[in-house]
Amino acid sequence: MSARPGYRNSSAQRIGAMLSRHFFLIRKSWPRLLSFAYYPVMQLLVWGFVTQYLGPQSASQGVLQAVPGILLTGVLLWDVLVRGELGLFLSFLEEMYSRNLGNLFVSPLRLHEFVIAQMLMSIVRVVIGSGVALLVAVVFFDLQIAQQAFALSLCLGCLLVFGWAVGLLANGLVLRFGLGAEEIGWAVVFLIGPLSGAYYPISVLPSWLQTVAYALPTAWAFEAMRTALIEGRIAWQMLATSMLLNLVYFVGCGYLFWRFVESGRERGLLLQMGE
Amino acid sequence: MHDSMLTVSEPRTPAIVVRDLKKSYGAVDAVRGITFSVAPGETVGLLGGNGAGKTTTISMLLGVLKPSAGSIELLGLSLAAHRYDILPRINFTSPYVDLPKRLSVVENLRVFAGLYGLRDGKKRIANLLGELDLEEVADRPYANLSAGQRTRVSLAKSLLNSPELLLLDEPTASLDPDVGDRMRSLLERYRKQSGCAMLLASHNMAEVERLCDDVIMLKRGAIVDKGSPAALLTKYGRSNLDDVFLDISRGNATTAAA
Repeated sequence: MSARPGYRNSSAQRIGAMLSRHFFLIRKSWPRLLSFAYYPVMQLLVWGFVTQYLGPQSASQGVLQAVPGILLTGVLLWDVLVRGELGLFLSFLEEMYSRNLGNLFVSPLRLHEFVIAQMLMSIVRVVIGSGVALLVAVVFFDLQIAQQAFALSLCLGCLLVFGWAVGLLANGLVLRFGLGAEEIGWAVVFLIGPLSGAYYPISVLPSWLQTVAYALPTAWAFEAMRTALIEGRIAWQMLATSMLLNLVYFVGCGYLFWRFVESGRERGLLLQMGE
Repeated sequence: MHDSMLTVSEPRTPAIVVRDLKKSYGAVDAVRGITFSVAPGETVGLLGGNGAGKTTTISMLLGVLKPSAGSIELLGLSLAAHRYDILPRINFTSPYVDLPKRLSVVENLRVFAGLYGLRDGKKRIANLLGELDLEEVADRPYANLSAGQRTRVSLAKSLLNSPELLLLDEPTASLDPDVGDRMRSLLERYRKQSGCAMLLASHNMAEVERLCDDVIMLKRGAIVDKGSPAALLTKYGRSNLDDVFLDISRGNATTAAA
């Protein structure tokens, strides 16, 4: 059906409206803006000093020369995953806290537009948060990754998409179980931390745990990161595996989110969600 | 119980047609097969005590609650099949929802102007701020507004897209008599200017008498009576709807109406 005179039926306008809602908030709150970069930078400073401690000891020992760079890049890419998830989850919580979900679900905004706006907001968070942290790593800890920038950006893409998948799952859990499930939403991404191999190769895990780890796109993405930094090449097969797994997780988590929304529609939760 | 359709003499496409609508939560029947219609430009009141099924009915009409059975047509379209064709043409207010508190009044309205696809959102927002006497607080964060101001902002949001159908769940609850009266005047004016149909759930009987052409009385999820406020007063031999409401909700209806 075409729009009424004076109105547009524009998906882009609705997504833009959702983005403007978040930009209005950011614009007037510098602590909020600061918080985007605060955690990544603090995390990076801790690991940066760890690498300065390890650096001289590993400098003459073959592959270990790359350890400081691997650790710092691991910190940066792990943060991309976390920001990717939190970008979706925090945007969703904003609507829950303000009891605005009912208004949104009754507006012409489609569910996929709502999710796309959240994903775009997570990219903003990644650009600001991880961007500042990267700058700190380059300036203060002499991180040199320019030559592997393309390979690492592919790893980043894999991790960001998985962050979105986890974010969708976290949103769905809060929608289904209420704000009581908020803690799960915060914690869920860290559950996969030990299995992702951000700071160590998957081969150090017990063999049975390696099987579990390789079922996660994050393990392949971080292995590809190490291949890029140590061998200076793009591990296409690992990245392709990571992306294929991402597809499975993203579709699966997206389906679960949709089911939780439909379940909310059946149980009458959508209009009354919030604090 | 199947109720006959509320008589609507207009031959035009009804704004709302609800047929045998049911909602159950497990063994609990929240709405038990209600049937009614609302004509374009008509205001119909949905009355009933707590738990009568008013909010459940409105939630189903908004598409945020899936009916267990029955059908809903809004503005001539099936809600189940054409939800996203209908939503741009309707709007609502409800005490169960709120707006982002740290955004200003204007920012909130701009967001919703975008969501409803307004081409000239700024002009529409400026008009509504003027009509609802919100110009002075336009740049103030929503969190810093009084309850009355928040209700007016919520009403401004609901009028942004010049809806053809407005679903109002207790729109003047928590307002002082002065602000409440101004809200009712605004709704009357909007209806007169636009020909918008309204479904109004309220506990304020004076408001219902003033605004509504017809009233649907709900009790435990079923329609127990309906008619114009004047017809109900005559039928129950009462001088105000408060007493009619009490007769029905306390089960004195048969005696009183006899």
